[in-house]
Amino acid sequence: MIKRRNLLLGAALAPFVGCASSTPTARVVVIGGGFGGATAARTLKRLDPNVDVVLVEPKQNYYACPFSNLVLAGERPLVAQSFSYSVLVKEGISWIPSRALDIDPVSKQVTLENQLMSYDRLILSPGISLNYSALPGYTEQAASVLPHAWQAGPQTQLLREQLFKMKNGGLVVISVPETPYRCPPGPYERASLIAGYLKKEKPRSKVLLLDAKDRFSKQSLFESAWQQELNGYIEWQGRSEGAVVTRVNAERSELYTDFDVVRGDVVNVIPPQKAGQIALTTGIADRSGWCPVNALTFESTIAADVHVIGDAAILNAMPKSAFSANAQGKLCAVQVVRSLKGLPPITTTMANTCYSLVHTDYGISVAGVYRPDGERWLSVTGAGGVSPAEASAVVRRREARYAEDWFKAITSEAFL
Amino acid sequence: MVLAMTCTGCHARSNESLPKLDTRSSDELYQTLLAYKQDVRAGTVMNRLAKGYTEEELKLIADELGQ
Repeated sequence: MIKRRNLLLGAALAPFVGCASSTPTARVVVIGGGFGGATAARTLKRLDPNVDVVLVEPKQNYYACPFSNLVLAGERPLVAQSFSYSVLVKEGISWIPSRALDIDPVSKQVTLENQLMSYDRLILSPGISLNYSALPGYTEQAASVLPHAWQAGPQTQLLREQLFKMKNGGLVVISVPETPYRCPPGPYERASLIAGYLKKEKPRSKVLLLDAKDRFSKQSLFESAWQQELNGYIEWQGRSEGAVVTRVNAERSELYTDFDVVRGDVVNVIPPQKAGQIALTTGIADRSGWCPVNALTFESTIAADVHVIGDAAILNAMPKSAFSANAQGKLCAVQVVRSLKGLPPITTTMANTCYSLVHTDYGISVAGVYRPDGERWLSVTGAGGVSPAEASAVVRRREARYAEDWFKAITSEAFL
Repeated sequence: MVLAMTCTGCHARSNESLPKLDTRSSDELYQTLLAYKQDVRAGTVMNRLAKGYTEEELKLIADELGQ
């Protein structure tokens, strides 16, 4: 596939590709090595080997969020979620394992832990930060007792251990924030997979979802699957039922809603979110906590020559998903290379495909197609949507297998 | 070209269940994409995705990805 993809990009962008020379023509710094940043860095290097591509990412290994709910259910080892940057380094990308502390868009410099680095273009793909201040009682320390597991890795491991240690007859509570947040259908896939584990291993237990919304992604599909496959194991309460979690007491494993105090044996707090910290520190995020960008080029409307992709960016109809970030990473790389060559941005159509698993043989999907209309990405009407409400077990199983291939394809584009 | 870059987010040579695209001719790919767009062929996400692209866009994608 890599060979083919090289050909694909080479053929499409042949005019840009020269032989790599010893003097780089420009430097592009990419901050954040997730699905958006890693994909953008690799695409840049393929499009123009003469560009000095620097990836700034402090973590030695990236833990992918898609499929991490399977880890919680004991259906997948955490190590299967882990990806290193060794392939990117082999491809000629300079990986600097450092945090980015500051950005000066005027002098076009990034402050790293041990150095200042100048850039011609900056791509910011910092993902999310947890908005602790929006949920009283929930802090970084509280998250070590009541995990969020919304950034995969040690948090995933912690929640998994808590679920495994929980007694039969226990209550698992998941609190879900108002939109926008990373991976709209994620909490419901999580509830499904945890409930499947409980049904098998601890059948007197159940999952309670306390949701700050009244509607959610793939709702009717999830609800009918819960009734068919996990009857009695999942209870969902929405905003209208007073289920908005307004305060957390980590010591007592308690969640406070408007009318009630709910104590869980395992409590998973998915807190409100904002753009990654560097976007907040530098003011590249606006008052909403997310980063406004020009739709076509992803260039920040706040800082020139800084492009923002992935969960952190405001991209309207495009959801905050790994697939969106990956697609944006590729398009952003094209636009940045064009801009370095003095060429105007090109317009295009983008798509998103997300799978959720109800269990390992039951997949459901949502798809969308998007076009830029001035400053916004809009959904193309008449396209996209979710899996059919009525479908045979064969179709659900097929979508589960497609989900596995989806994971393999997207992780190999970003990391392998 | 840029349009087809989205497709490789799912379709890879390592796929076991999803079809590999680069073993097909451009014409076969185009006919398949059109059949999805017009609901002549039943798939899963592909019907929903193909409807969002114009016939010209589907042709460009098929030319790019096919043999």
